[in-house]
Amino acid sequence: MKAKESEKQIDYDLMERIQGGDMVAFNTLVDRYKDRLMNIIMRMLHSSEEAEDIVQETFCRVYQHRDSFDFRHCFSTWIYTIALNLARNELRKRKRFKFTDIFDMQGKEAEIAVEMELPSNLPKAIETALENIPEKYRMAFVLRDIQELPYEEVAKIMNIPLGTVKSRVNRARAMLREKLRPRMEEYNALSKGTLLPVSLL
Amino acid sequence: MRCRKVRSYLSAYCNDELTGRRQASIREHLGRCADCRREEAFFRELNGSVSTLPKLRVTDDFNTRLLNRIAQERFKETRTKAFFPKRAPVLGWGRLVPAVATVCLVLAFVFSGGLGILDKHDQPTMLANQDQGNQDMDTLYRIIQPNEDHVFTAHSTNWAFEKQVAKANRIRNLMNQLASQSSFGNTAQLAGSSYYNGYRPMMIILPLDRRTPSSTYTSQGVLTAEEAQ
Repeated sequence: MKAKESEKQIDYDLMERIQGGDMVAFNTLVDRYKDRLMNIIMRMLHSSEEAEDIVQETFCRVYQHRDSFDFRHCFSTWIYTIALNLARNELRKRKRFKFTDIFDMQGKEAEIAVEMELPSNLPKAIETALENIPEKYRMAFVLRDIQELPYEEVAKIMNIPLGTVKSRVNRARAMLREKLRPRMEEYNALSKGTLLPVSLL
Repeated sequence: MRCRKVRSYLSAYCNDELTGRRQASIREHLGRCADCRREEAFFRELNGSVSTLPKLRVTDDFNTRLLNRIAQERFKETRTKAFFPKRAPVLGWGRLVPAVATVCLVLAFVFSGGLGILDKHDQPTMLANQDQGNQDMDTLYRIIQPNEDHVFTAHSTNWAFEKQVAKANRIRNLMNQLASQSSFGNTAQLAGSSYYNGYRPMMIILPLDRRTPSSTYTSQGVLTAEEAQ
């Protein structure tokens, strides 16, 4: 709790300096948040180039609207909200215009097929399963379980009630569990034959 | 607690997100249900796997590209400000003052009787012998419009004004002369005829060979005494 307060204070100090035109402070702020944002946005969009563009756009927006930042609110909530809104817009655009290169798709299909045959790659299996759950559950799961933000902050970022966040996270875990059930059974069978923990397989 | 309900809480149980009482009841159920324990083990494995997911990172030159982009945007912004220093507000002093001044001028013009010119223009032209028999001809000519190309006003000082005055004087003299003739006929009939009751100016041109005191003047022209009989 104390660590979180000190993190908040660091963000506030940096924002004050940025409002005064300090680009070094802005660079420090970018360093603090760029990987956290990339970690979330990449898992929402599943494209590293697009995710990086969104992260860049997020920092540009932060810089453009630096004077409108309200110091009564948490900076991390503000920046995550901006980034996730941009990601949501991108996903909406994708739904409207879906372009697929058939040659790329052929290659990927082959890759995915190979991966699915390999039970040892559990993290990739989770990523693939995560891609296939609906956006609103995925967002709640990523913020809570991958980014490890508190439920209250997730509720503020997603602008939904706390109970709804808990329900969505729970639902997302159940969906993942259903999608990964056959894979996990394979892991269990494999782990019985070895002494290694499942996560290392 | 039944298995179905326990399983709905299992993920939260594994993350220690439940209240003490519910946590205890689920723990108690798991102690006696092997199927639910298997589910619990699965959720714990999933949690462990999620926490070991690789942390994704941006590329190394991310900061450079970002700061370049911001510098470019700031440059554009500065350049735009240099060309367009300040956007005028929709209702600022720059627009409000001329607008109010214009409205005041228009109101002053209207209330000071400036629209009288237009009223005068709309009035029907009155003729010397039509209902204003007693009126002085000097005042009547002011409202006669002999030529539709000219707005004839008392304030005109140009050559057209002088021309109209002269024309009106000629008409007055002619009318007075005609009125003094005993053979003129019925003046009232002449004034009420179709020739005179319009808004056109009155102008009678007498042929030289018919300008005799015994001629009769009608709307069609001048008749000789023989023709009139």
